[in-house]
Amino acid sequence: MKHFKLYYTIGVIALCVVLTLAIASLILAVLGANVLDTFWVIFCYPFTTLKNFSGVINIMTPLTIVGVGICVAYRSGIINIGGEGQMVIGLLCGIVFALYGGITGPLGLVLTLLVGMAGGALWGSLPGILKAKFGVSELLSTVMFNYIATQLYSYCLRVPLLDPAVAGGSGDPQTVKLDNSLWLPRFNELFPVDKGFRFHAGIFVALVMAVIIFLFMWKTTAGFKMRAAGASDRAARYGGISVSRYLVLAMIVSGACCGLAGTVEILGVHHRGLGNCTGGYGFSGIVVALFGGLHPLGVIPAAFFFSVISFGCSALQINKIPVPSNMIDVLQGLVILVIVAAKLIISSPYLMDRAQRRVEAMLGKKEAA
Amino acid sequence: MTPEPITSLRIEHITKRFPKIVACSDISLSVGKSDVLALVGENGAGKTTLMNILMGLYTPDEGKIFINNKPVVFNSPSDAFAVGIGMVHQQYMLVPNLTVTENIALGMNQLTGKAKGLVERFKRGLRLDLDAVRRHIVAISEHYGLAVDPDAYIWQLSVGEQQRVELVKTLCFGAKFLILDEPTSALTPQETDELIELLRRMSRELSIIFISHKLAEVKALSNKVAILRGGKLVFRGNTADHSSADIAALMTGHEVYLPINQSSKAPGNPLLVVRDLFVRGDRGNMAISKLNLTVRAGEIVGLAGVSGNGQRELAEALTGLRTIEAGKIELDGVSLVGKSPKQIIAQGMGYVPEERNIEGIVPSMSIKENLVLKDITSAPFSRLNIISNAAIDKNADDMRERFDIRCSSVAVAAGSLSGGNIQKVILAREISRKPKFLIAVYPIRGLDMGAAEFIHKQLLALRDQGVGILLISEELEEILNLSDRIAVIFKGNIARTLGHDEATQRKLGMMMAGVKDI
Amino acid sequence: MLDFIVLFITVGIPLSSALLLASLGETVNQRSGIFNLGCEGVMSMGAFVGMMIPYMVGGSGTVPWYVNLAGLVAAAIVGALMGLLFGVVVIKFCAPQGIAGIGMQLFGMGLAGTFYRHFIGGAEGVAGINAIHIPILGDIPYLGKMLFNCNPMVYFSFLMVPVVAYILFKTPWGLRVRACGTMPRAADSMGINVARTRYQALAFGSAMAGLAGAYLSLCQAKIFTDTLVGGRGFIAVALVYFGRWSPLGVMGGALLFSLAQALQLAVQAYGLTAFPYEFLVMLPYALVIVVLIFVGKSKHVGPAMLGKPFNREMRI
Repeated sequence: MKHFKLYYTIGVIALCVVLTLAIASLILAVLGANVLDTFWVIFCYPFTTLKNFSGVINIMTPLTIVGVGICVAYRSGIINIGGEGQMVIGLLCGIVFALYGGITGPLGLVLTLLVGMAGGALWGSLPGILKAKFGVSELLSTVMFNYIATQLYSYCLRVPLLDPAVAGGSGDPQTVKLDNSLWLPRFNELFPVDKGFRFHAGIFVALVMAVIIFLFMWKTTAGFKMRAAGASDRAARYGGISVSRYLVLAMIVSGACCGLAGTVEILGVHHRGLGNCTGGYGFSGIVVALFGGLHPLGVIPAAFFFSVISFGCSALQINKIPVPSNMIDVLQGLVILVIVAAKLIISSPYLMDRAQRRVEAMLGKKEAA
Repeated sequence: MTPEPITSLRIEHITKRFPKIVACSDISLSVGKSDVLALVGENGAGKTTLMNILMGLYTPDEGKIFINNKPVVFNSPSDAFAVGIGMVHQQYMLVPNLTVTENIALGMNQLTGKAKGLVERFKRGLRLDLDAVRRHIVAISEHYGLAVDPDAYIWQLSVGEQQRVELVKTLCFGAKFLILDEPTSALTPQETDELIELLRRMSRELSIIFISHKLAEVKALSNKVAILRGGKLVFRGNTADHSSADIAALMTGHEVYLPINQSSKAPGNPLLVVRDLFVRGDRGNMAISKLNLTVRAGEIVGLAGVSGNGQRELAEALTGLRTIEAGKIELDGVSLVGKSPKQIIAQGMGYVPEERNIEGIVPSMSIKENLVLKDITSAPFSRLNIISNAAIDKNADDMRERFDIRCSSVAVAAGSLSGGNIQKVILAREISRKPKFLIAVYPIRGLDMGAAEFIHKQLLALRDQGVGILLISEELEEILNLSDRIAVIFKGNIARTLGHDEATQRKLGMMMAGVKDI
Repeated sequence: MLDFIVLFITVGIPLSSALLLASLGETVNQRSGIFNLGCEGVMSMGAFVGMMIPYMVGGSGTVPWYVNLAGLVAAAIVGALMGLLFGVVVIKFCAPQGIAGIGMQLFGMGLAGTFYRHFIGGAEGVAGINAIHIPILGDIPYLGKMLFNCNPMVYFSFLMVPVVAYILFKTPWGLRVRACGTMPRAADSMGINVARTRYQALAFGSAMAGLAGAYLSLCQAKIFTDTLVGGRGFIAVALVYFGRWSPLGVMGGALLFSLAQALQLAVQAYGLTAFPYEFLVMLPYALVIVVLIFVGKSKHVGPAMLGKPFNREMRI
């Protein structure tokens, strides 16, 4: 049978989509929500107004950058669950530089982003070094570094960086607003377009980052070696590649991406340091990376898709649908589980062969009859 | 627990398919009481698959199994044990961090079946009765003269001891019918003789099927022989009626002449010099101790030995993959001690590693990328660290032609190739780098004869170009065919080095077993 | 000083229970060869279900003991079901376990949070299960306060240490579990159904994680929040490495980490606020990293095939 592989792949993917939607519908039904209405809000509401669409793009921006960073690490054989922590440290460094660096204007903006990247890279390098030197599983160490980073950040917010205006008050600790020449401009400020295009320019940073990382991984020798080390560390070692060095490099690049994402989020959306500003992007980035086929350019549409869902989920309550916004985590978790299972089904020649024989036997019977 | 004796075992029209290959195709066989059937064939002929079907490990796509003329269906090895079939796998199926008793209890527990009554089942599930198992082991090992220590951990045992445990285990499960998959592959010639003697004694009480491609054993032990080739049964008959040469011809399907080193060109200057080398193994033991070895330019030195005597550690130490404790390694006058694999590769060291699928290639990367794995940083494959795809493609097309790499495209994943073609990719990469020295570890293990011939020819050609080669192998035939000199490694030391003319299979066999005075 | 130590230990021991239950469960998972990083998600679901049942019956008021018990049982059952779901993904479909665990974590936490907001909402708690005073023993000075005035679930969690050890090392099932984690091929060749054994181990281990979650919501916090589990699932996984896959070692680890946490609470209780408490909160997490560095790789102890899927014919 010709093109069986294609049909098989499409079939498995279709089945997975149906399965995911079915489980999600079941959960919605348990919550007593109208399933169709809910899906309408999740998938279509984000496109109803330019304002909503801009909201989607603003979510997509950090998601793309983190997703690209996760790709680099994953392709190099290390699963970076520490995106959250690297974002926090990155944006912390960015904020400190923005507040005390004294450089304003476009140069200040670029430097702030670079400092944020450096902070994320530094934080990302730690689990990389621990894995390379001591064999500490990155799955565990990155999670621990997340908690440490969060505590460090909340200390900085509470004590050294605290906005004097809220000091002593009962409000959540936050920093003063950053100089507005450091803010990422909005799209409608850059171009003469409808005022509804209010998403910030970070999306361009994200797209450029995705292309840069793609070129880095597929067109440079360092990227080649990282991919080789990630695909088979033994073969890479036997080929004279220092696996541990490229492992640390992968975590540095990955951390830099996450740090950049955090800084972009601050300069584009919040304009000041405050608690809970990473929005779980560190984890969503993993989903996006997997969904994008672990390819930096594939991450772009994947991030867009998840931004739509994410925006839709957060808009459920205001559309009077009785589903809490935590639903986005459920969907993301489901998608990860389905993707990792589907990936094996698609890539296993054994399962495909068996399916092919079954289908052929079925078709054969039909013909005989 | 004690199944009725097996007077006949018959398989009919067994077919088993794997992706892209038919491992067994329409095979029928029968074995009677006290028969010893030798199942002969090259690697990949389908012998192990067929036996795994017989054990209930694989389900056949077609065909039936009959025991005492009754059809049986095995869904699990437990079903096979229950009728009295037991198998000793080529790679021993023993859990290293459990004791001998625990290992055997593991399977015994499956066999005792469902106890009657809830209380009894509950009791049995609550307490592991290791003492009963230990008594059983002692009884069996005394009956068959197989000495084992029931309380030793598997990881403490030598290969020979582990094989005895496997035999005892199978017998403890009540086997009346033994299947042995390449039982002698990890044994010294002397251990092999003992095993054959033991099996001959056991064959008075049991029927045996044993898988082998060593014809001497087949002649010594079996009364019937069946030959598989490419998944098909090509011959069955009485062993006594056919000569080794007949069987060999049937096994390969054609007369095979592996190339033989006949060059009389004198070797050049010492190229690789190893002095008083000490290297630790994975367990922290001294795997290589005070090893001395010299290989000259234009010379193949065969390193013979039973696997596990330090071959792996030596190869890894020479390539910089394993740190050495003490000693000196020089390649063409340059010390390799303390250098990284990358630096050693740059010195002109080539390496065909033992596990080609995971050490030789990056399976998920394409063939063309694998071909430049070691040279990606140098021109023409990259300039200023930017990769040149055109140069990589051109190199791949050249290599594909020169080394006869059979693939649909050089862009497909290298892991999807057959073993022979993977080995060609590795050789192409290593040879095209123009190495000064090449270490080849088990270069033709598991390959079909055609590929083996190709690879041997390449090695000999390389030798004639003045490259020094260290050939590590367990196959004495391969070593004798190719080597100018033969060094025998035993317990991490070179027992002795023989010239090509003074070496014989028998002599090497004794030296591999540690016999010093010959 | 003595008062400080007594307070420190009195706070520390109950804190260890959730970690202990979860990491004992994870020990069984890992012994069978399954690396369940989704522990965090399972604990979240356990925490939610555990408090949901008493809340449905009696709201924030006191409920009869058997209702609380039903909550615990339900948490264990939901945990086991989550384990089986994870099993389908990583055993049936041989998916990479690390990343699938992250999926499980997001799924479990998301589901628990969603249901909590929908069915309970707000910051309503339950009466939960209270500590009991053991007569006579509980009156011993210092020692009584530290050891004999605990929550019944605390005693249960410590009782589970020898129970799990017995199951792993003295029963046929435990032998099968250990074999499947170290050399599934060998177990398979002896007729052991590797997949079934791993499913069983996952169900058992995840039921323990569910109980651990229920301990948090019913006994410790007596309320559910999104951050209730707070990384304890991940720490539980790390503790298994620390304890070298032995229940006793895991207990030592759980005590060490909860005492590190208790230090922070004790310091705050003594009003030593000059020292920024964030650094004390960090301490246990940093300790995990330090411990992971020093827990070298020793052979012949743990499950050698941890995280590796097994499929006889697929030749993975």
